[in-house]
Amino acid sequence: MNQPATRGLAPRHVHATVQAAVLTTGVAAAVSLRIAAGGSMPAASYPAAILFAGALMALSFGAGWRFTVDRHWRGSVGAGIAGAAVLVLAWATAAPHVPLTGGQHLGMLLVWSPVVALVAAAEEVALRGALFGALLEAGGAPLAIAVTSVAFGLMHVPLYGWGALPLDVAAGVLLGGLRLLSGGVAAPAVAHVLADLAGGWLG
Amino acid sequence: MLRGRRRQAWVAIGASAVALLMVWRLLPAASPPLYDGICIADPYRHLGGNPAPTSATSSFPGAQFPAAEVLTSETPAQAQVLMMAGTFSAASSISVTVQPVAPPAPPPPGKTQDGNAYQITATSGGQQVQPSSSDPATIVLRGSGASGSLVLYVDPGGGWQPLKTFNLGCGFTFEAVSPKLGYFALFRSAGSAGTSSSGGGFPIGIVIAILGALIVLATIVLARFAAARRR
Repeated sequence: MNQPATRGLAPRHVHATVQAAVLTTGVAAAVSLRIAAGGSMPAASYPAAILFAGALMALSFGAGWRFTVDRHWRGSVGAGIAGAAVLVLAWATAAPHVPLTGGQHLGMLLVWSPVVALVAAAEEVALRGALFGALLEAGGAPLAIAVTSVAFGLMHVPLYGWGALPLDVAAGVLLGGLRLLSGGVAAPAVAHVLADLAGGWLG
Repeated sequence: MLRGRRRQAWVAIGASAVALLMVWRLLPAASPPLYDGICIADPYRHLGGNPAPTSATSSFPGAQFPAAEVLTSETPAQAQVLMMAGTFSAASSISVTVQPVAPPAPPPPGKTQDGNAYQITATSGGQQVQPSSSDPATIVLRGSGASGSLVLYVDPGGGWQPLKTFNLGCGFTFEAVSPKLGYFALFRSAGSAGTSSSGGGFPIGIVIAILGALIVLATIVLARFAAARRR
């Protein structure tokens, strides 16, 4: 099934590999931009988060990712909700945790929630959308899940420290599994957005 | 092919669900907000300032001490103590208090205090109790946000001692496991400048411009790739 190189174009998997490498570099630059723009508390900076999301979306659109709605969208949303349930239940069964905020901060949460949703959706579009698609073509599903999960973990280290790496890599594998199962970015995006919002509203 | 991918997807989902359960249980009690997002961080409250930093007290059964946390009410909390089941043991109930206080001793040589000092105590029947050596307490303090890497110190009585400190990121918070309760504070090396975007600090504007240019360049390269593939 490999396509031959024609008219000077490299085989598709080589093309996809280069695309994945450029995307990964771009995502790393976007993370660095968030850290640089966020000052001493990049994890708490709304402007840095919005800049980060914009950079990820630009890279994804550049790579050819487009928003589409297919006939299986209900199933994808359902899979996303089930994925969010797994992420939240794993958290809920754990030992005492640091609450992000409380229900008493309703005004803050109303501003916080759309920004968090935007960042989570942009991360999914970039990682499980554009990058996952390129890696799937370049080396298959295991490579796509592994690379996007490690990238997902590493991109959060500057915000939450190395202690968060195992957690985010594990979450990345779950989101990658949802991407593979559903064939699109909607399921991991729904799971990611809902899980992040739960951190604020239930924390 | 499609069936093979579905099987791979289910393997990934199953394995990650088990991994998530294990990681959440094995992580230090203080962990980042659920997966990621943006921290909500109020301005730091300094002792003597307005609004004032808050205190917190909770009581627990001494015979069967539960996994628990006591934390002040700022967002995120400026001081927290996280305890496991078995951290304390006493015949009567145990009261755990977290209170902002004036520093009990001058800073260690070459260090500058960042934020407030907090006194964290556990008492039972009028007597102070200390964590068990097998289940020490985890202390989380928030820095003022004015400086870079900080180290958490404990003064159990007799001077400041450094603790192995981890940066939790959210809200500029730092945590450390402490075998003893007492006074806690964050310190940075004296003279180490904060991450400032103005004045004589690092030219952060240039860094942002370079990174922005790199992202634009990557986007253009990706767009050309995508266009070439469509042809």
